[in-house]
Amino acid sequence: MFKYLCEEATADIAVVAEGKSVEEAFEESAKAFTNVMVDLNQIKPKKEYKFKIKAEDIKSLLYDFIDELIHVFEMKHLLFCDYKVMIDKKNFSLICTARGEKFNEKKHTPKSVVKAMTYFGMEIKEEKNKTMIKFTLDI
Amino acid sequence: MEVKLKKLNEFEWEIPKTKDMKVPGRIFASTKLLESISHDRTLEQLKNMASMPGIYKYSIALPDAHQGYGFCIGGVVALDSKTGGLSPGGVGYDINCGVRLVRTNLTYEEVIPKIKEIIKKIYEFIPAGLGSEGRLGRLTKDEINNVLNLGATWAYERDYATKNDLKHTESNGRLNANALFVSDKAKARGAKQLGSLGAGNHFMEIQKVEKIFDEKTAKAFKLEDNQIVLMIHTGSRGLGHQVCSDYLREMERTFPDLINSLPDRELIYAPAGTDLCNKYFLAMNSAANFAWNNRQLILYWARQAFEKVFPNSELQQVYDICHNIAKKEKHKIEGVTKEVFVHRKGATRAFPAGHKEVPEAYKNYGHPVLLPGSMGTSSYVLVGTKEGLEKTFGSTAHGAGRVLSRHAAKNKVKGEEIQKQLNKKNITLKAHSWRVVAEEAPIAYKDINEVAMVSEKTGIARRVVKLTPIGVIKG
Repeated sequence: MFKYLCEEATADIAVVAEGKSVEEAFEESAKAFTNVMVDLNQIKPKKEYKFKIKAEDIKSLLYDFIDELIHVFEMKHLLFCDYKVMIDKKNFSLICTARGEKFNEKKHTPKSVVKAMTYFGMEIKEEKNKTMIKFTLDI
Repeated sequence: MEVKLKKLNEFEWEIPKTKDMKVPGRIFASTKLLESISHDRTLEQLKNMASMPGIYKYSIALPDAHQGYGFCIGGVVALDSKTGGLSPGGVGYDINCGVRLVRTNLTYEEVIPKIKEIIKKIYEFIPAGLGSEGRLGRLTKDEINNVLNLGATWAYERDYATKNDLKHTESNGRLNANALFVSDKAKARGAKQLGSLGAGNHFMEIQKVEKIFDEKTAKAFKLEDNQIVLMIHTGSRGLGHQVCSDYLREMERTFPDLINSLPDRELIYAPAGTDLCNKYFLAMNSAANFAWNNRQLILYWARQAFEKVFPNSELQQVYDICHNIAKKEKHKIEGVTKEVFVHRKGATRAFPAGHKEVPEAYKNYGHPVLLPGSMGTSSYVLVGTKEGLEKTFGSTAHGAGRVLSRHAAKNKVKGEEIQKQLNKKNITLKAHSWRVVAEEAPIAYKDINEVAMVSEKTGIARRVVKLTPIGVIKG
């Protein structure tokens, strides 16, 4: 589950993503990111794309994760509707398998362009069966 | 967080220094603008900015200030170049986001019958919107390095620019740079996007000179009543964003102890004199050079578009100026000349007459300061003042500044409705995304007239001309 906070970020977009686990919350964060650009339900899971990230702590892992997705969109024009994330909490690394398709202006109604991931207002709250993530995208 | 303010005069306010701050905070705003500045976290961010190392005088919020990430937008800090530091968050993700103003030899009456035609042509010629890429195709590695190292000289050597374009660009469109310090990841993004407008608040507008405030200076800028001008607002695209992210992360890895000592992780900096500080400076300057080439290519194609519709048209550059940058400058502080990194994030340099950075043609007046308005509203040309040099390290606002979040704006209005409203005002709009149009609705911004007026009243800049749009292109 994810939602956008209306009044939190004047020039940017503030996202709240929730999941039963950290992995699921990361997956929801990624969906929230994609949904800023194109409605998720317009994207079909035709292609699979896999990548790894290694960072120094959980916040920088989230930062680098979204940063990589921005890069993949700009370089390959790939949009994903489905994410599977595995996190190694000891080493702050993750493996992501994403499924989606190439951006096509005829099929996908363009919404906003994400410029960058930021640390601004970033929160990652882990509880027993629930993880809540809050972050801001520069658009 | 409640932030206490002290009123200094009608347009200046102070956040008194508290124990975490090295200097006070200073806000340049009217009561009306202060109200919108106070409704988000701008003032809290201004307090945080005042804790930066080697900071001089005060942290500054300009009349269009609003909440950013780490540093507020419409913010200025000057950090000592030897004891301070350089912060990517104090520059912003879109390095050398900026504005270019170009005058034409056409009048309003000549252009208005063909406004739809020219807007359509520009829309065809200049890539914009989600995933947009430049018309040059993917640049080779050598070529992207040349773009980064040479700045606008690259465009000039390839006949994309005239000598006059370069002369009338901040720093002649070229800063001391080194492409070696820009990652392959950033270069790969830039190699595809050179010469594209992007989206969000970026735009191109055909405007007319609506009102002249300062006849003499307007004449020096060769701007006259009813004249048609072209405004381009964009930056360094994905390349600049990646340089910012790369160095923010590199600084975290190199100076991990700083992370916990800072009130906000986005305030991370490289201490002056360190290897990383020098590398970021050269990488940031590389991205700035990319942005100047980006706006130059857009102008090159805009000239072609104009020529198709108006065969005798001539487009001459008035000025090109950046509003997201850190510059190494010398400023007199309490009578002593100091070398500082002036971070201008959503702030425009405004140097007065006689300053060595002012182009020859404008040396008796000061260089033009370009304030783009929100979509479909007015824009302004201002000029720098001596007072501004003392009060704000020669800086003023960079536009209207947001007041409503994108999300809130989109919930209030639809893009199609805005197009209708603009049509009623005889403004032609062409956009790649209705969502972007809604997010950029005029109601989402502060009143640009108020921002320009306050800039003048505080003495940090002076109004020269007011421009109103007749055609708008959005990403």
